[in-house]
Amino acid sequence: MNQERIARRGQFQGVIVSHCPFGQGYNSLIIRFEGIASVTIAKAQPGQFVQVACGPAGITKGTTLRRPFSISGVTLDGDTTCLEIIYRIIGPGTEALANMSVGDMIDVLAPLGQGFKLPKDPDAKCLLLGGGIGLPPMFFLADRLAQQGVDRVGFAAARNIEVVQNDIVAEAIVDNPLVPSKAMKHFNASDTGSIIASDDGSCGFKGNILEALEGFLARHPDWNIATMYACGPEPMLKALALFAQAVDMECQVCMEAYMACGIGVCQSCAIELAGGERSYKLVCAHGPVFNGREIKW
Amino acid sequence: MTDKNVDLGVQFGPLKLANPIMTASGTCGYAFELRDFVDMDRLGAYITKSITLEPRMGNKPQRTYEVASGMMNAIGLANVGLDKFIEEKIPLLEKMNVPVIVNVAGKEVPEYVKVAKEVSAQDCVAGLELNVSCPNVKEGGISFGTDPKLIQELVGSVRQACPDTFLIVKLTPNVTDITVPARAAIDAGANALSLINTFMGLAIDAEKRKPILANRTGGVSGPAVKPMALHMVNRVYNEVAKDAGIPILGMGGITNATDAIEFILAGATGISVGTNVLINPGCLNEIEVGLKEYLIRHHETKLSDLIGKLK
Repeated sequence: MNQERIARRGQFQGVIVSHCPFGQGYNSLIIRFEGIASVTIAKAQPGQFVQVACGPAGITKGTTLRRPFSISGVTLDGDTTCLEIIYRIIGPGTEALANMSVGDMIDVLAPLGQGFKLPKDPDAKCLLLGGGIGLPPMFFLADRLAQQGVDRVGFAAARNIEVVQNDIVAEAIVDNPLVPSKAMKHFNASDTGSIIASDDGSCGFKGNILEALEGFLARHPDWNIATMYACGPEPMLKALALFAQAVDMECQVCMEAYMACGIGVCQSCAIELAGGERSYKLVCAHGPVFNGREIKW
Repeated sequence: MTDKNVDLGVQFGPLKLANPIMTASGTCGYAFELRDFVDMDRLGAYITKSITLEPRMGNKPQRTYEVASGMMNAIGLANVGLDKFIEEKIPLLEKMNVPVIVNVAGKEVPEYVKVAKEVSAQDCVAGLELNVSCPNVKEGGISFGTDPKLIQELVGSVRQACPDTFLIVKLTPNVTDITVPARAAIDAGANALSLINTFMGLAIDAEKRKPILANRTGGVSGPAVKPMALHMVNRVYNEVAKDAGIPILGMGGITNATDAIEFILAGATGISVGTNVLINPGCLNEIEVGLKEYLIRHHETKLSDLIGKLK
């Protein structure tokens, strides 16, 4: 290997320093890395992801594929870097991950994929739109935009107030009177505040996230020049991307796909592109962040 | 004894390899895609993803699925096609410090011949691996691999077009008797055999009552197939390859050095890692270390002394 070439990604082992519930059914996992791993992972960008071997590092990993998780935060602290993922337990991989404890070593491929394109203009405005497990990359993005001093508004979608009170959405919301005990710093530090949309109106705006966004833009016409950043269920992304096209706003969507390698070699995670002839890009290598116009919805 | 005193070198056809470890086609890209995770210089040889004459965009997703101790795939030979391969990938492969073997696939004999001829003419290409066993494309692929007459026609035609090329034929396990296609390939001029490609399988979503893979069927790989792969390597070694002096590239569920040793004992001269590279790419280098440790532990000096030494 050319030692002079500084790798932009790698296979690293870190130690779990925190592993705790984050809303009902979700866990937050924080892994600390040292040395080259720390340097490499500190460069991770919002929207990038990690491939996690969901079992103790060093043990034969041949029986289970890695699981991809978007990065919800990266903190450089001296010579170490802490990386956070927030995940939901949905199958054997995430169940095995949930059984890992603080102090365990864990093996990751990181950081992977192409992240969000951040605004270069300090006067830019950013709309962060997250639904369910699509929220974690928005936390990372919100954090990075806050560091840059970029104006931003966070939108979180939920089905109803129970979901909001128990769900990852609650953790995302700042200063929401309905969920005071859950008020967290994750999503938003904007003067404008964060907006929650619930399908039945039991919490925040009644309607879906697109309707909430449309209402917001009607009330704040100066935000029509904003860039949309979205992650969540595909129907939500589709609705947002098509809306963005219709009103000529830029919309970056963070996509999900069934993945094996996560590093561009197996070609599992093909996503069909808009346009005449059938063609694909790979979510793991060309994405997971795409311009909403690129995708065939 | 230290690891300096042990020799992992193997003679794989005309290629003298520093060790028997190779990538498996389809799991390692076209050149340096794995270099952030693997020291490519420490491979025995590098085998590319399949190349076809025309670019192929591959099957509709979902293309892979995890199964017990393995996975299924139906990628559909997605690849950049011959022209782009020559233009963009060959310059990268020229920089590779280990022998490069290019995997070639096609729909019909003339297509295989054209690709084989053009690719083998490249200076940096040390050999070809003919994929006569892809279970995931409608035409060609596996239909060649399951019919000994077609194997003979295909391998014979490529042999004729590329008389001096080191030719490996990758066989499918989806046959009743693996020695039949093995013999057919050798008779037609194969210099080595790759054993095995994936087993045809079907994954079903019971709730939706639909196949999980968009292609319906897919190839099963990973540790789940290792016992069958070992059996086939051992049979072909004992009944065909040993007497013919044809080396075997063994693969199927290898995840670590112990698995690799098992294939070598069964009769493989080289070993390929596929599925596990997707999970633990670093295993390609870990296996090299583990093979040395095995030799030291067993007071052996040459790995090649162990080929086919299953008692």
